[in-house]
Amino acid sequence: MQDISGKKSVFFAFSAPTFIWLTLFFVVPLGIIWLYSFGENVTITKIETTWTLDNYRRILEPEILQLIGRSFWLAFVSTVICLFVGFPMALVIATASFKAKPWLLLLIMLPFWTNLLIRTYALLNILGTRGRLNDVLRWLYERAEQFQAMLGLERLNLLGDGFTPLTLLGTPAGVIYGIVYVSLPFTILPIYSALERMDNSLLEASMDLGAGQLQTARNILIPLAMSGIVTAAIITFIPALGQFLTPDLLGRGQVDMIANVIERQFKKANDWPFGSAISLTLLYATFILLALRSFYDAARSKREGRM
Amino acid sequence: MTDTIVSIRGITKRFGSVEALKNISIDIQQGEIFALLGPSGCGKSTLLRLISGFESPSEGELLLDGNDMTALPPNKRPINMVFQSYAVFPHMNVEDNVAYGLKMEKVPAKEIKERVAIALEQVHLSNFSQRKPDQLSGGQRQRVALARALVKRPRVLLLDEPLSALDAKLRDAMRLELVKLQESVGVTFIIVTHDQAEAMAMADRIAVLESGTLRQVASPAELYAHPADAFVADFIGNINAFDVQQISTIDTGVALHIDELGVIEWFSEPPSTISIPASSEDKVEATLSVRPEHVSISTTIPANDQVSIEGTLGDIAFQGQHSIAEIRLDNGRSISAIIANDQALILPGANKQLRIWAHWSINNMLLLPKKAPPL
Repeated sequence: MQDISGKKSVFFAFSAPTFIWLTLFFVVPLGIIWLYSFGENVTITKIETTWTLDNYRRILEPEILQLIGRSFWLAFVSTVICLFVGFPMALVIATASFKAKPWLLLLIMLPFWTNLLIRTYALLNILGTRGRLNDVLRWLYERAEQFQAMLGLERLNLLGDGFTPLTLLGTPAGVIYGIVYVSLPFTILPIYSALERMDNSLLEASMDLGAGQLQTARNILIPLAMSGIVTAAIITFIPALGQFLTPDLLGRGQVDMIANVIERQFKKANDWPFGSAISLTLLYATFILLALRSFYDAARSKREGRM
Repeated sequence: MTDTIVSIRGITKRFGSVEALKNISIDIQQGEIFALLGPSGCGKSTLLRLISGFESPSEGELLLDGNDMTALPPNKRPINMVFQSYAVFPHMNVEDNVAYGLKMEKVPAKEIKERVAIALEQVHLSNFSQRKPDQLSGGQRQRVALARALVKRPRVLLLDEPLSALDAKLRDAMRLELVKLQESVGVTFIIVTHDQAEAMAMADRIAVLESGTLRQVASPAELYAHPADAFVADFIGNINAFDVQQISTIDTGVALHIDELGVIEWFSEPPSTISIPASSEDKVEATLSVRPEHVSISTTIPANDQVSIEGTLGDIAFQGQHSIAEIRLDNGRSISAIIANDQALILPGANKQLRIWAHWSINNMLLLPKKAPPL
């Protein structure tokens, strides 16, 4: 095969389709949104760019700030849960046998083969007050009641007055449950790839030198997987911050996140300029996060280079 | 009589249905360099991992200074290991790598500093203490791994293929240095290697393993001069082996019937590991061998007191101090002889089809069973 690297004509010919596509359908629309964010509605359908900062100022209203704060909080809690749940799984996959590994990875990827909307509706069925989760809890409660009766302890009334179903839909817990579910594969895969590259004898060397399992995890395993963990945290947090469907369906409109407010501006409220301003603020927040990541990497490599 | 430090007693290790080690018993002496030698897959690495504690035996027990340590986890054994990949922690500098084991022991900071400095000096890395592993060469990384293990003052140091990742020149230097280091610190070394030259050059004693069984434990010189069987003889150095077809008892000893050499009278007791069949029809599992350095070649018929075989001169390989000549026998086999370079120079090339005689004294021959019963 001919060597095509470094040839300008080949570079342009091969990158042109992507370049044109992204310009037309990403850069241009984003530019329009950016212009809108400095605009005002003059008629119902016409927006004029007046370079007003009102739209951005409105974001500072307590109501919106509270929503943004909640979005960050929900995304943060979901990310933390994802890391704690995902890390052990990533470790299991990374240390699994050659035979088991592709199957475990397949299990992680499987949800992507089903439509998100359908999966979220299925979650509704599980999390509802009369959903499957409460069915299980009710069953457990009844068994416990029977057990209590068997021991003759009814008088103590240890179990309360009766089974109260767990309310998850329309609560932050339900939304977090949904976000964790959707995000988990994105958390597991970067950590897995960091652990996969690690030489197993490093962990053995640590044990050989007198460290216990926990010390080895703290001193060797986690520090060496750190770049994967940071990537996982960011790749989990950013989409979680922009979640729309999960708060919409599992939050029942009571646990709105930023994306739900944006949607409302573009639809019911017909306030595109304000919607654009919030969207772009979310984008800026994302940029700041990514910049922090680069600073972290730079600082780390500098520190390691000097030592 | 020296003291036994590690005692391996009847160790069997199974992975599923595969027996990686079969009933191995070895006593390793205090202060010696002991090599576990064998081809890949012989179980030597498994044995090392058993001693370090990363694997536990299916049967048998491990004693350290006479105390059972079979159930002790690796971090509780006063035994340290230099891994084949060195396993130097990439996120720590040299000093922190070496200090790691002492920190785990909760040694006071001041003492850690002193001991790390001494250990780095021992491996000539004092000027590299602040370097990160990726700023070190392979040889330097190995020294870090050595210092990191020795600073713990282990009773036994395990080395897994310590020289295999180094280039040839560094390998020879490091071989010598490891031996010197061992002499100065006095710690017992157990070295795993597949390279017989490495084991011969470094070890006080060598255990030869083959497919999970122990074939022989002896000093390098003993292994070379008196191998237990044809496998060991072939593995330790090079050898020309001839299959013995029949053995019959004669007045003065035994007569060996060999297709290629005719009948050879063997004037001493054959080894007890060779069973002499009652009937001459029965198959004999023995070989008669001679090492290439004992074989001479000549273009004339050799003297009667020599064992000789006729063939065609094949390729001659120049080795530096000497040359190795290939003698192609008429049955298609080849044997080799180490000859002086002077002689090699006057011999014609292989294409000349020169008829020659390879010959040697019977005193230099080894009568060995094909396979001795495992120890």
